[in-house]
Amino acid sequence: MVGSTTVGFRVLVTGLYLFLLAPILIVVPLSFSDDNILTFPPTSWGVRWYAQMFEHQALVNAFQVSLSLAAIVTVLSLAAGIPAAYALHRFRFRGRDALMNLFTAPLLLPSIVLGLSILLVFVKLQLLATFVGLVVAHLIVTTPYVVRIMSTALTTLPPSVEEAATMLGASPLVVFRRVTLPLMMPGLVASAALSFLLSFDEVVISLFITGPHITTLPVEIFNYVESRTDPLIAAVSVVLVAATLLVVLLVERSLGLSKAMGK
Amino acid sequence: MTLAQRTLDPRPAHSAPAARPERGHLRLEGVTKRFAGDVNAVSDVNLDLERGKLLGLLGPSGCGKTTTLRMIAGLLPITSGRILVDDDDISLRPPHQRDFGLVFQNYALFPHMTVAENVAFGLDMRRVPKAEARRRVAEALELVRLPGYGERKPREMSGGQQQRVALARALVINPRILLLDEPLSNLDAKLRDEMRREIREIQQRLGITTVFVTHDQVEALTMCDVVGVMSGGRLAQIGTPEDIYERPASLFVADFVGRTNILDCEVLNGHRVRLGDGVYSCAATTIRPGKAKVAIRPHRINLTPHRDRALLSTSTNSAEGRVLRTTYVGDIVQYDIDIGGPTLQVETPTHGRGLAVAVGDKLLCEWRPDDMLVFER
Repeated sequence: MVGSTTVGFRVLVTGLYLFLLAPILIVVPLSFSDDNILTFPPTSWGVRWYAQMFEHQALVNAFQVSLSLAAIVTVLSLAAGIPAAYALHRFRFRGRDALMNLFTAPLLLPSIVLGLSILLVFVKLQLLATFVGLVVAHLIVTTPYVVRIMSTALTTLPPSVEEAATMLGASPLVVFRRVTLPLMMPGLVASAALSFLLSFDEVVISLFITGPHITTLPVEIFNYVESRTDPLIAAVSVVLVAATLLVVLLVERSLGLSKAMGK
Repeated sequence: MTLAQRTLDPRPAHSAPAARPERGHLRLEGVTKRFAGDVNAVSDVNLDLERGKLLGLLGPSGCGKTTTLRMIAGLLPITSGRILVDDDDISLRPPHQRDFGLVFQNYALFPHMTVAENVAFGLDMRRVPKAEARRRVAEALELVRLPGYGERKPREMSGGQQQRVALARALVINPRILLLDEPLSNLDAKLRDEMRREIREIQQRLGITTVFVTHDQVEALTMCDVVGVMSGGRLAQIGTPEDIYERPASLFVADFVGRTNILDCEVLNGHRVRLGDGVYSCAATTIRPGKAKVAIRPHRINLTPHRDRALLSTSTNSAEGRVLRTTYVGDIVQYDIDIGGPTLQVETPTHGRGLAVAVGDKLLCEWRPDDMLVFER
């Protein structure tokens, strides 16, 4: 009986993984195609599309924009989200629940609605197709996740642990550095990684507010496949997957590390 | 001074009886806490705790005992009043400069540090040299009977062990005052008994002035030199465990500490009350004649078979009663006895020979006037 469920379970898991990984399983071979158009399986093999990728100035520019955008958005959403989560968690004040709901409301809105409303507001503020505009728009997406993740992380940090440090002679700054921060670290790393990936992958909202002068990598890819059908896009996709994987591995590593250190 | 030195060289507290009276180590003067817009959480608490004594703050939840402890610790600012240590007003001093040890109900160990790092934290804050810190950590772990546990993580330890680490962490800094916030209420009954003894033993050995918050009256009575019973944010009574139990200052204290019969009565004069159909002698009272309440401990009432009436001493109260109910508890048997009006609860120790008394039996209840305390209604 145990054997049969195990086999059935294995088949199910394998099937699920195949389903989830199918796009990657197709895209990776495609990127090593030497053909001029996207065909699967490729008729000849090569790495010429990887080389071409670096010569495509629009893609390179968009990649740089996306990278710096994701980095800045990550820093800002942590800077806004961590104190917010801390305050919401630690202090009891009027309107606390309302604030918590307000902070996490964008999680519930479909991004298409969010994108449209941001577009309408940004037209008035003249933020359309600007880097600042992109940062602000992405912050609206990422900050709620940071608040959520950090709130959960903080529930594992009872106030008495910080008070214990205080009673032992630690000033508020030392309490934060020696106790609060190390204990928040797993949540912090997780929300940083998630913010980065959310911003880096964001398409829908960016579509509304990018323009000819400034665009993000996902939007540029979207534009590219609308007009062209060569395997260049497969090569770009593989680079994106690799970059994402790297971030996830980094998180896994550091979280695993901090777990080993006693969290 | 290290723990060991202090153990060998106790403070000269008890060696100079002829000297001026010992100064209170911890003094609270009119300490009051009012939370925004609320009624007082703690009102006008005054107490004077001698050096080396263990004070138990006892009361039901919400009585203000933990709030009082947190004000002493400095974790809560006081609204008014003064807190003094050796005549030094520390009311406004931030908690990390008070040099007090605090042990929490939930242990509050640092989960990302080893046991040794936890215990060393306070020494680290005081910039104690590494070698000395190592020695003192080892001594402190020895003191709480956890030698060699230094490299463990808190989560690898049982609740009782974690509580001992918390105690070692608080003691290693040689705090001026040790504060314990219901440290035993997360432990199971057997372990609690053991830890009670252990904490008391360490506290006496180190001669450390300690405030202990508890809702458990057994803990308060068995461990403490002085017990402060709190109710509604006020200190209802402060005294030795015997004072609290034998001479409760109010109906609340009589009721909260230990089991007791509380009955309506009518005061006839300074030493006689009417209770149901009978008139009895009571402990001397200043309450004016009229309606009042009377308290009698169930185990201070003796039961005698009816036929022994002749043997009764004339200086005790006696009342004829009929058994309404018996409850076998194990170490005692509880009886509800109707004495013509009020029902008395009576407790007698068991002897392992079965119950000699059945429901419906007639018995004589007798108790000393001193055990019959009268209070305002």
